[in-house]
Amino acid sequence: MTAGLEIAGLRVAYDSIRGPVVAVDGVDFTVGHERVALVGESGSGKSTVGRAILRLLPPSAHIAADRMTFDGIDLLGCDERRMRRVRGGRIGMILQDPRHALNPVMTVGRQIVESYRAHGGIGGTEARRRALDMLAAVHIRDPERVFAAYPHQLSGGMGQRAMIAMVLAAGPDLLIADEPTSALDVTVRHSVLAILDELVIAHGMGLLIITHDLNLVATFCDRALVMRAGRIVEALPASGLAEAHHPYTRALFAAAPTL
Amino acid sequence: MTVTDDETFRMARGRLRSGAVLAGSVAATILGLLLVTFFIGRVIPVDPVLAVVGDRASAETYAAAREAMGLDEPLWRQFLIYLGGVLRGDFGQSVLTGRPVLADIGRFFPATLELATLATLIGVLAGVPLGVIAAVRRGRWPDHVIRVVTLLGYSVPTFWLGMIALLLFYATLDWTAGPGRVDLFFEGLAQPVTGSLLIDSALAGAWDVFGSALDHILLPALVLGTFSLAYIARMTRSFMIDQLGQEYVLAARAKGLSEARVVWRHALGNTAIPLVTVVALSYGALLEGSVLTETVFAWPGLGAYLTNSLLNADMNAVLGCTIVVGIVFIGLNLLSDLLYRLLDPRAR
Amino acid sequence: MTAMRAWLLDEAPASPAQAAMGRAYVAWRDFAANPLALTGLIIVLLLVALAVLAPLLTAHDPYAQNLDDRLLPPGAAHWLGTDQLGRDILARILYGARITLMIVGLVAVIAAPVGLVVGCVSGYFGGWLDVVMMRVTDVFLAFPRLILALALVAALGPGIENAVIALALTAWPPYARLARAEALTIRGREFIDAARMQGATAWGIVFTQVMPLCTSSLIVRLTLDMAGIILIAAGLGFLGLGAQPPAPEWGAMIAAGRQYLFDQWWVATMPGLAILVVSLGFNLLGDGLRDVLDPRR
Repeated sequence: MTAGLEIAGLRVAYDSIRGPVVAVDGVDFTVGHERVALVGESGSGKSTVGRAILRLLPPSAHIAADRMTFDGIDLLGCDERRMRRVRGGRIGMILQDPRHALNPVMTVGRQIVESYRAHGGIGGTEARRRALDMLAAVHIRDPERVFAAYPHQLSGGMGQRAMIAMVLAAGPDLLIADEPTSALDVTVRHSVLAILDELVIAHGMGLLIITHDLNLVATFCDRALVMRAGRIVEALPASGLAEAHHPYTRALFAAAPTL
Repeated sequence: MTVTDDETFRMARGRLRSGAVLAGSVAATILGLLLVTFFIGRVIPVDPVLAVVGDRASAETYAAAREAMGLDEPLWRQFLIYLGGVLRGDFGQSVLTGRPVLADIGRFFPATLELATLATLIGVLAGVPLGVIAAVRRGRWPDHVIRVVTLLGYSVPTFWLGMIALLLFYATLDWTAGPGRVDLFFEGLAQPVTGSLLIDSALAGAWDVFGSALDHILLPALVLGTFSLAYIARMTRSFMIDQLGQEYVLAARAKGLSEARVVWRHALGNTAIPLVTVVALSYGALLEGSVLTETVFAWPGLGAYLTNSLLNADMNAVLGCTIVVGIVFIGLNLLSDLLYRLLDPRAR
Repeated sequence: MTAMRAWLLDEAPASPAQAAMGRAYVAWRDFAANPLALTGLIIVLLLVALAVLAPLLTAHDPYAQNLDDRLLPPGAAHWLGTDQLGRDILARILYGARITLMIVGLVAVIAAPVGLVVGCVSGYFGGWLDVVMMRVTDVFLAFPRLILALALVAALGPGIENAVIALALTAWPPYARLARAEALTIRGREFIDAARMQGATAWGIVFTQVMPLCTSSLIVRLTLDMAGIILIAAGLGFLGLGAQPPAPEWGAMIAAGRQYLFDQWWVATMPGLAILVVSLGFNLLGDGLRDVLDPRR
């Protein structure tokens, strides 16, 4: 086993006035060249897992694991320099709301170019050309206009595509998508997901999608891991969600609206 | 020197008003300002004429001033006369100098502006980095040290700090020049163009004058700058903590950017917008703070002029200074408003 | 002790009193965990104690002149030295604390209620009343505060009463702003509707329902302002516009020591240190209070 993300015994605890609060309590899973969903209600610790992988939790969080590696790189033990190359370069992360996740005072183009320059070691003109290509790849019809736009000038769906372009720029091998569509209008969710899916397959990436939307999981994922109170309570093929055994999964599924 | 954090937040938030509303509100504020100064000058004193001409004035001067103030008219007409005078730039005569108050202000203001500008510059150059460091190291020792230092800057009476600085750096260590704007020997050597002695002497190539002027301004500017430094550092810290908690900072880190770039480019880039308001407010506070600082350093600016007028009960001069500084305050607010629109793409 | 703590931190309090005490306990723990805020509290309490106990703490009379002992450096007889009239500086600083406390107290007692009434009425009634009152507030906020205070004292004449009036007149607008913002949010709450339906008059609601709820945030703000008031008061004293001689006001003491600065440094330095420590105390306290009540900053 060398390919992809391997996690064993991941624990995360936050400091608080009443002592440490355990958010993630011994989680094991792997993600290879596949699309894995981490599902659960809010507060189940699924977002914390996503951020812990990139060591992007606030200082009050304490991360521990028996094993947390990506393609053999020890994600917990490696120094900050090495980690910076992993972030963006090997593992990319898409956040929930493009209105907050893009810097409001920087043009979209500069933010994408920045991704290239942080990892590619390429010049400005070349980075700009590739950024425009990438914007076209996420099905933006007028890349030049979006390149020069500020985030507040874009619609939610357009913003999330720009975000995908920015994260894919450095060519990561694994993509963590934290609720990538829940802040978007229902009508554009599907198209954004379709673009994400298309690019993940085209680039041969792994995908870890963090969501509470079971319909999305059934349509776009290979496997689903169900989280509750910091633990994975059930792992099953995405197509088998409807036949889940665990009462919690069944309750989650029963609560999901049918489209 | 009494800008508070809450006011700054309020001013930074309630920005986006339309041009017409803005112009109306500025006009109303200036009118209110004049109403208050009129009240202070004409209604509070038992004998407003005496307040203007001083108690050593001759009977003729007294009668002339009484005539000019229109004291027999009803109060509202008196105010209109006063308003008309001020709008024409007539702030009355100064008892102390015997010249029109506005001319006096024009003569003394540049020295104050020069001092306040340099002090603000010191405040920005030192305050912003300190605030950023405190925010990044929040809750750890650099934050605590910076917090104590900035609270000291908030708490120290500047006139006293000025005296201690003179005692230490001038009288004891002899590192800097003493009170005054320039050595007596160089007095009046540089041709006044801008009114700033530093700029004027540099323009004329009179480097010995420049050196002496720099030597003289450094200590008062540092003393005055302590408040500005403390205020700017505290607000920078506060804004930065806000920004560092935003999602885009997480996204920037997730892209693999260096921590320096995340902090100084992304987070500080967003912090710079509300900071414009802070710098404008602190500049205003320094104009005010210069009243006491100039007294201590015998700096020939507006503050020293105002203090002299106060001690001699020269009411026209006192109110003239009040109006001018008040209008500069309003102007600074307006300026920060415009800069805000220019800097924030969301406000364009 | 542990049982007490558990009871206070219970996540499902059994009574409103337990919940309130639990909140207060958590707030106090946050506050006490901040050594700087605690230092501030101690300084302020110490100031009050020193002012009250001044006659017990020093055998010297702050007004007693003794020209044989003038300008003595700090030593065994006079711990902080003597001034140009041979008066004991420590005694003058201790008695001066009373003046400082009185000024700060009076300004607070005058300015805060005025701001509270203006803000609550403005926020609760709204309409043209609000527009006019906030316009007036804006005018006062546009004034440079120290210079307005100077101009007022110049018109009223120097003296400690007039200094207090000038300070209070320049201090109320921020409180009005704050109270208005609070009143605006309280206005729409259900218990106000309930009171109205029970037949309470508008003024009755403002005084019995709105104002008490605006008070707590006003107090925090007041603590933060204390240092500023102390500094401006000292500035007025320094210019000879505040307390008149021979009153041992700290700002006036610095002014008196100015001409001896280079030779008898202690005359001006000691009262300045007193101002610095006290205003630092208020700032530390206010800063800590705000951290506890507003964890965002």
